[in-house]
Amino acid sequence: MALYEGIALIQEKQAVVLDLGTDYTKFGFTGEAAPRCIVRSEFWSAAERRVRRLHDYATPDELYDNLVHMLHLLYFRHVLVNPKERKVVVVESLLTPTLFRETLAKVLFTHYEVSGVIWADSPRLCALTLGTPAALVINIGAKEAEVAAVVHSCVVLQALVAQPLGAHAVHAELARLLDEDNGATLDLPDDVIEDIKVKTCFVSPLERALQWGSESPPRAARSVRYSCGARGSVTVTGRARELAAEPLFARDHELASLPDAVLQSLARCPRDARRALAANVVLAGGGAALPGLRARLAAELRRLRAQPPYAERLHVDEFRFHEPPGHGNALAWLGGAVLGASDAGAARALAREQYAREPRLRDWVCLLDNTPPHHPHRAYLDI
Amino acid sequence: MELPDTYYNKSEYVETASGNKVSRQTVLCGSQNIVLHGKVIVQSDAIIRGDLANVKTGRFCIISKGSVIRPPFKKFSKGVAFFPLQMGDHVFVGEHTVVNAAVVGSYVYIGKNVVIGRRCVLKDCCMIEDNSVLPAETVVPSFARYSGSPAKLISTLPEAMPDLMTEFTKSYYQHFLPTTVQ
Amino acid sequence: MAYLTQPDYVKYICSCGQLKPITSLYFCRHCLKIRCGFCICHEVDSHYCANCLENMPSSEARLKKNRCSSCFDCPSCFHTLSTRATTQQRQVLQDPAAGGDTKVESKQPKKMYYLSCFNCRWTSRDVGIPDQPVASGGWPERTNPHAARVNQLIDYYKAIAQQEKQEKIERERKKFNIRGKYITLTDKTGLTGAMARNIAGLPSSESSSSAIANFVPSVATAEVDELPEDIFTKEVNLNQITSMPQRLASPDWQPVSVSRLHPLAKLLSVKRSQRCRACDHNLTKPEYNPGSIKFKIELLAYYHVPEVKIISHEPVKPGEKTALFLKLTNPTGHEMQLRLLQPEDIPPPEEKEEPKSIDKSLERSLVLEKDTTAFKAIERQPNISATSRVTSPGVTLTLAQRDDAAEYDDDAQHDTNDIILWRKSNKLGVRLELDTSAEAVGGSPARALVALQYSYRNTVPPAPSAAACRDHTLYTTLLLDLGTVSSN
Repeated sequence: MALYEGIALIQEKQAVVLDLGTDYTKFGFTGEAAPRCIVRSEFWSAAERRVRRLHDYATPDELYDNLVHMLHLLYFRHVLVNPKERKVVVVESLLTPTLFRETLAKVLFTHYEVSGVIWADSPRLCALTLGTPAALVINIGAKEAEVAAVVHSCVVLQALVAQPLGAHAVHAELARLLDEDNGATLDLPDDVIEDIKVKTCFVSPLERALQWGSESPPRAARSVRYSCGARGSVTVTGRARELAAEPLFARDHELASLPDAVLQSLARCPRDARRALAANVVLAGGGAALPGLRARLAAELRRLRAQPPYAERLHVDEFRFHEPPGHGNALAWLGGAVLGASDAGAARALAREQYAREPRLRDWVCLLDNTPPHHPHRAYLDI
Repeated sequence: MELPDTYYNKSEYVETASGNKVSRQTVLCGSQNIVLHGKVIVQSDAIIRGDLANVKTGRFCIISKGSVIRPPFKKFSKGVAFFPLQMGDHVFVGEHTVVNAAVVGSYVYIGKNVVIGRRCVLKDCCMIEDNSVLPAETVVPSFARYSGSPAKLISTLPEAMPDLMTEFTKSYYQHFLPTTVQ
Repeated sequence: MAYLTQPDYVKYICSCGQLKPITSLYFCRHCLKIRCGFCICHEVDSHYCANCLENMPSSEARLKKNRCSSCFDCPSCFHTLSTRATTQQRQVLQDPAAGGDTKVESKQPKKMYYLSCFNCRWTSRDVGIPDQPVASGGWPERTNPHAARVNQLIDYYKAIAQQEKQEKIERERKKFNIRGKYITLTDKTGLTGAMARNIAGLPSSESSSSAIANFVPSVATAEVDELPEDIFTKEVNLNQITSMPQRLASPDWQPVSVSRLHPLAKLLSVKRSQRCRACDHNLTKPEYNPGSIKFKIELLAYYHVPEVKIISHEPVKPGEKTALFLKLTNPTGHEMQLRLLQPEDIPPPEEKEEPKSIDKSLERSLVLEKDTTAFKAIERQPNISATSRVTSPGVTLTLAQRDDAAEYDDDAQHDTNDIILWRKSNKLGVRLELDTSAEAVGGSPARALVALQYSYRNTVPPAPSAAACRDHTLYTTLLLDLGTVSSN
């Protein structure tokens, strides 16, 4: 038995790890420290003669076509391997729409005939790169910021908090500030806004942010002339540079800011795990790469902890941050690469034959999958 | 769609025995160094710089209006040397395009307002879209479709590209007709 | 060629329901069906570098992470870097041990090479990479700063998985307790298991437990890096900060500063071969040589299916009959009988179950069992809404075979009737009538559906036992794009 297993282990083709983000797709091999490619989630559509975004779809068929084209590009232009008879680790958010998951499964199994798919959620994978028993994963993606607590590689589901505070929120605010400062509707394309953000913006420290809101704003940082080719140039003021990321920290009565999301998530966690979680915070996602964001988040957390409604509910004294072994934007991917390389992940793969017999995916929201086997309700579920 | 007929003024064009149709309104420098291999169309205001180095084209090439075919140079420590420019069969060069390539393979389509930089190599069966700029010393592989400035690979071409180009240049030649003398 | 520069006016309906121009369709000679890039299986055939056009064996490509060892891309603008040579006067080293030869050599200026981009003028000297004495290769290679830690993590999780498996086996054994203690010492799971791990080059179970023992989880710190103080006062030099594409081009490092950009080894390209999903036969297979444009197998629809081109048409008006001129081409080497039909006249495909030989039919049934489910999933109903229909003339048109010599006698034969306009070797110009429905709204896209029935001679060498059934009648449906319906 063991001998055969050994041979099978050698012959098994190196699996690929796929993270289809809203803006960027990460794709590479398991066991490697970084993805082979990080490309925009878009492809050239020959029929329409334009670049199409993967997540632009109206019908399931359209999504299917988009996925087929995108995966073709990834497999044959970037990673250059045959998709057939090769396992895939799919890195997904816990909040991925069911349609997207199911269509992706269909594309992978029927169109690309992969031998197996390992579905893995990004919070758990981020925690995997640390090796700590508990981790509070703050994933700032393109659209949403998700805060998830992972205890012994189980996601505490009731503590999952998501807010639309991703990179797009920063882009929208930056575009607004630029319009305001330049006194015109600039209508800059997304990639230009992103470039301005990446090159000039930072997150101001807490004291300065408070000053901005007060009567006497602080002295702004230097403004920058940003030239955008034929459109002329745009002035990026110090104010815009500094305040573009403020929407992430803007509090209102709904307490929907990023630090609030973190504290709410902690409050929903089991009491005995809270301290361990607060001492093991990790920031992931491309949106977390803004300079100063970690410092600001730490300062905000420490300030809000002592304020209502958290002061009497959370008895967390310290927040500690991890330095993960990879870049934030590919951290979940890296977790996938580690998971796929160890046999534990490979054993959890959904095999092609199994999918062919019963084309159904396990899903944490489905009662069939989240009811424990000895639960009294279980008997009513099995069909 | 079938190609429409293109008409030219009969008095403007010279037709050689091998079927080349060359406009009189062109600048052919060093014509002894220019070899057009038959059924080649050189339209008005095109410039072919045979004085710099040899220029050779294959059969069924179309050099459109206002394009410049210019052999590339290379700088050495002791000066500059020009290299011959070779073009394969069934090549289309669009209007107002500058070609400084070292080699242009067969079945190549170069669009309008394109600049092909010095000593580029365009392999057989490739396509450069309109308004692209190919920086110097680029190699364009077969079945690649390049676009942009600097031009990048955007997609691939169908496998039948040789036949498509052959059909295109041949039918262009067949539809390139003299106007009846009035 | 017109296919590449013009919109696709004529689209064929692939057997999977996709609408594609004839240039991107394939024709499976074994299934006698049209296939497209969507419903066939693509495979990586060979790796090559698109710049130096060198082939690289797949195993080597895998080792080198699919990157060419001699070509580099500019990290700033992604154009290919060129190697430039400079002469450098070498300092004359007075080595007492060396003979006269070295002296002579050292007088000669030494050639040094650096990389330079002809598009954005970036050079490898900009970032302080020393010039190399050889023209290709030898450039410093970098490894991911986190590689060691990632390997540690992988070892740790592997060890845990191993341990879990071991524990599971132990538990099983305890549960059943079939064998005595002495047998377990030498049984398969004990000794041979260790041997298998040894053969597989995996760490033995002892060291795997040490991987668990030695593993140090990541340590969190309370201090976080604050913004640098000078960020509020320092002038921002946009030219010194990398853009997002520049960072993502090297996912391992993602440099923030331009001074940390390194040349990117050029990513290889692949030649693809394509295979029919239904019968597993190759549809295209390129030649191995990267510079070659030839194919060993090239079953394109363009060579097997009659090609339809629109010559011209009258403006499409609602409720009226207008003229349409088409050009039909027979690309095959055999005479072709062609009829224009209405799409609904196509007989439903009948499954001919004539077992030619037992093993053949067995093979087919196996193939069917394997793949039809997958294939069915890909198939979909084409979305066709046609405003007009082409009235079928009800005559059979005969197209001569393709003849490459025929182009030299180019007098068109204006022979025939009110349908055939002209005839030129394997090409035929036809005049047809277009019947547009009265409901068609002006300004909406005008489309016409037409079906073709054509005879096809299969040139696959028939199986020895098979009947000489070489001539087939095939059908295909086309969608013609005729601009917009005119409003008056």
